Amino acid sequence: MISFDRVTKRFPGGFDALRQVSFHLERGEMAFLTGPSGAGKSTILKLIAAIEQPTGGQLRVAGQNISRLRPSALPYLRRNLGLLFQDHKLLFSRTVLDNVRLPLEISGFDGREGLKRARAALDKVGLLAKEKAHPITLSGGEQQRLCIARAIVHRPSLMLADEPTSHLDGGHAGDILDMFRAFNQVGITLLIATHDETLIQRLPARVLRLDKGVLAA
Amino acid sequence: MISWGRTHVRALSRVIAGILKTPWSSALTCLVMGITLSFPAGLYTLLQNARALAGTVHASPQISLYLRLDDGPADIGAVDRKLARLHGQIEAVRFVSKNAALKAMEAAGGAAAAAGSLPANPLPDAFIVTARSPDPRALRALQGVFRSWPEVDQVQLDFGWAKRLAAFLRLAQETVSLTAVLLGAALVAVVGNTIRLQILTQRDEIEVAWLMGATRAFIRRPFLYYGVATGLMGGALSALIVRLSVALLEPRVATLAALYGSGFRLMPPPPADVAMLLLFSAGLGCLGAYLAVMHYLRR
Repeated sequence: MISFDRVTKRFPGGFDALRQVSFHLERGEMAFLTGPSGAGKSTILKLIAAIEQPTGGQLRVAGQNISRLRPSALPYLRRNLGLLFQDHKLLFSRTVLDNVRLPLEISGFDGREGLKRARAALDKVGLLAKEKAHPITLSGGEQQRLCIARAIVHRPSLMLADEPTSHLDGGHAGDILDMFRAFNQVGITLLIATHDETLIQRLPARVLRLDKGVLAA
Repeated sequence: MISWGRTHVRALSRVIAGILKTPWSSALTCLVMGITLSFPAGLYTLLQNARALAGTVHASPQISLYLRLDDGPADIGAVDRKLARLHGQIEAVRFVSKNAALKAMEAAGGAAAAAGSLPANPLPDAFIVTARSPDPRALRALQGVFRSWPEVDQVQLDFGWAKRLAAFLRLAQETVSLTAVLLGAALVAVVGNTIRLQILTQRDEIEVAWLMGATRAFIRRPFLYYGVATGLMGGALSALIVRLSVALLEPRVATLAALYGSGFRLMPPPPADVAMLLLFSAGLGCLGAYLAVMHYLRR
């Protein structure tokens, strides 16, 4: 599903965020990406989502070489991804339901089918009763669950989560992990970036450790 | 295809909802567009009316053909037949015999004594030809044809006024075009700036949509629709302003025309011109929106 082959990312100014990183993630696999702040976890997720481009090496996602991907093909790659951002990136001007419907609108789903899917996703994360609310009125845990609903509503094959439990207490973090486990059980590939060691210990998944842009052996 | 159509319908409904959500801001943009567009539209309407007026005046561009003094009835008949063959280019022909001309001269009084002292009538027979086309080039061509006839001694064409009128209409046309281009550029800037502000307020939404796989076209579409909608409303407003102005001015113009013995009436722009105006304004709105969005997306 994901293949990093000696991938390097150097930002303008000469800062090497990643140096010769190589790893493979099989379809249906779940893995944690861990390391201290600035280790390069978010950079790896951004490279997979083609938000950033590698400066060296080869990166393949779902069989596509990201470095050689035409700009016009980028949107179609991203439609197969479920992205969970550290800062949520929720749209506060839209209702909870409309936030979840956004990926479906982008993919061109018709209104009725989109509504059905969005409600099913909200039901899955326990937010169906709040479909008409605005995200600003939700708690931190609810906002995170809303992000999860938005990330899975279009049934992606790969889910990328950047510090998904960083703003949550233990109970809510556990709920989120349970959801991840359930998604993985239905075949979704998951890559979760976190620096929370207790979280890693709660799920039986492969761990990729990064330090200063280098993947530990 | 259906999904593509759906995204269009969705973008359009979102634009309509957005306009209804911020009616004052949208109304102000339309007002600016409407008033700005009404200048070239109004000038164009005046120009079209001036053309119509010129058309009625043009009914009398005349060419005088003076025959040779020794021409007889056979020559007159020959010229008459030749003129008849040119009926496609000639509106009317009036023959003025040398005797009739002399009588008219005597009736005028001033030169009667001098004419009476001459041994013979010094005036030639003449044909007064009214051309169909007021175009100076057509008149010149006709003049050339008449000059080539052996029975004709002199051809007199007074089309200075026609040239002046044509030059004035050309100048007016170019002024309207120039005004339209300049104000059109201003409108592109107005719409572009409005869209730029909209983009800034919707920056988060654009970023999230982009990260979730929205294409450039998907992001661009609602802004283009907004530009077209604003342009259409601005164009409709300008058409209304022009129509009201014409209605306001028409009685005064009619009074003025009546003083000159003319039945000229100031006409509002016809439906085809209004349609062109709407198309033009919608195009300007779309262009302004396109430039603003593309500038943002490139960054």
